[in-house]
Amino acid sequence: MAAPEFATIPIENEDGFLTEMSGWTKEIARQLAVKNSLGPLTEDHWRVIDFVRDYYQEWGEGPPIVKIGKQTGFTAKHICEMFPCGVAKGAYRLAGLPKPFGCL
Amino acid sequence: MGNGENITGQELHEKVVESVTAIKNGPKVLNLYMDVCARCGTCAEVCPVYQGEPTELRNPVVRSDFIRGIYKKYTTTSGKLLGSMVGASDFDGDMKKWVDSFYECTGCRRCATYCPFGIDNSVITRKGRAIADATGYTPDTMKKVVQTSLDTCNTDGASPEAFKASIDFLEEEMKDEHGVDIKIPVDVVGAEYFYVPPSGDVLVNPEATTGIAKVFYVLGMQDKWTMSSKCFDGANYGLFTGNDGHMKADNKPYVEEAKRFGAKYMFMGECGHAYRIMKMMMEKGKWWGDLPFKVINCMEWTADRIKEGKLEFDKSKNPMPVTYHDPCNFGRSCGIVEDPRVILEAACEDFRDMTPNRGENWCCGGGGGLSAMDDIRDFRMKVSSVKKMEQVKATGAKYVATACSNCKRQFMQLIESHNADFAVGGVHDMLSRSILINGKAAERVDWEG
Repeated sequence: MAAPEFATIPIENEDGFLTEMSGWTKEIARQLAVKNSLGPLTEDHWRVIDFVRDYYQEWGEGPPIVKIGKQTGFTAKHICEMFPCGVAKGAYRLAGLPKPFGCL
Repeated sequence: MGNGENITGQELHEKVVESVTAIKNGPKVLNLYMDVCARCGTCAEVCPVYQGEPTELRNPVVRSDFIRGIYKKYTTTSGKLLGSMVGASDFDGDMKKWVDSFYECTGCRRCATYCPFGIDNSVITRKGRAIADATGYTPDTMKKVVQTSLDTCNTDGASPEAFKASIDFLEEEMKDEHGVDIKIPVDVVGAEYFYVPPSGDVLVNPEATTGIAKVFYVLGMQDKWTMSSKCFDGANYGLFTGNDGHMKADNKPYVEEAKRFGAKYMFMGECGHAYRIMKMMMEKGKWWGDLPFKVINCMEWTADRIKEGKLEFDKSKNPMPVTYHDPCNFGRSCGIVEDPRVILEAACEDFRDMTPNRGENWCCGGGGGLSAMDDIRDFRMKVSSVKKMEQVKATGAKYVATACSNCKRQFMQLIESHNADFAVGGVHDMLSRSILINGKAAERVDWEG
């Protein structure tokens, strides 16, 4: 029972996105997964989350959904099964990205 | 919602009454809407929100009466003398009720289609939202989208670099699909067509943009069009908050960019309200005087090329049943109803219309900017979308094509929350998957699995 289990999730908005990306840790991603009923995070989950975070850190924007598939080699179906709350939304949320604005 | 923190109750009352009485000297049409309602209830019978779950405040007549009552009390002799007997009422100081109600109208204008007097309640809704905006009560989510767009020229706050990274990726994708270099030109001065999509069609669901790039390629017009790394999002939420100043300020850089390119056509993408603002408001209303370019939209342009026999398809690439959801702003407000169907019938094996359709279509339930508001997600999932979901279900479609990011966002959330068995995407997305380039359709990785 190490300390990270009790890591506090930085404030979320009503759609479950973190308001502050800098507070993100892997443990927080795990807790968000529990909150979103995603079960334990697998290696495949992490590949998506890591790619989304790297892309965001490079471009200041989440990657297009197809690009996630291309980069990881996963099909939409597989990603949808991993993130049933919406392909980009589920992965963005867990990766600690800010909530997309407007019609996105 | 915004809390109007800098305003006292008395100031709020004065401001509301002043704004409503100003209608008297404003556009004739709104004056007419204040005077002629016969309270027949037709609007409620055709309203997606009221039909989704009828409550008193969701009745368009009752909502519009917030403003109509004040108008009667302060500007008409009968209202001054007879008060509530003739429908006059005062502002009750409850701005929360006001905002909640005006942000429960999707501005779809279905009421205007059926009202025997042609009353367009969306105009009254926009007035109600404008008054909320002027007093600091616009919901925070909406305020944020407007401000982000004014600051960065796109509603997502994406940088030119992020935009270019997406474009590079799309070009690579098309190379993989067809084995040839299909370009998406960026910042080309001298291009004839300046393509203005919603940012989602570049950043999130970019197949509509690849579809358009392929059409230009097939026609041998690769060097005739361009996108802008600064202005790549036609979305303009000033329409939704009722703030004309914001709407025009948001619009201006796009017009300047078109002039800088020397474009002949402002070529609007699959975004209903962006096209409506450009075509029906900016161009028609001469916001910026006479223009050196014409506003057109990608669907009418592509449909014309199909009718001329210039584009060929392998329909077997899209074998599933496909239907089309008419975005209110393209259909009812701009009459763009046949063109998307021409494209889908050419690109898909099994196109089926939903009923009713075209100008009589039911709103997705996320119109008027509501789709962007996750604070009212429950309302959008369970109330305003009920009629739409019934309609889609009846078609048996596995893919709902629609030309609007707002509708798409609403549909994606509907699919998620109702566990629905269909996908949503754009019109040119279907074209992108089946159009022939050098005699062959795209070699697509079966991304949908």
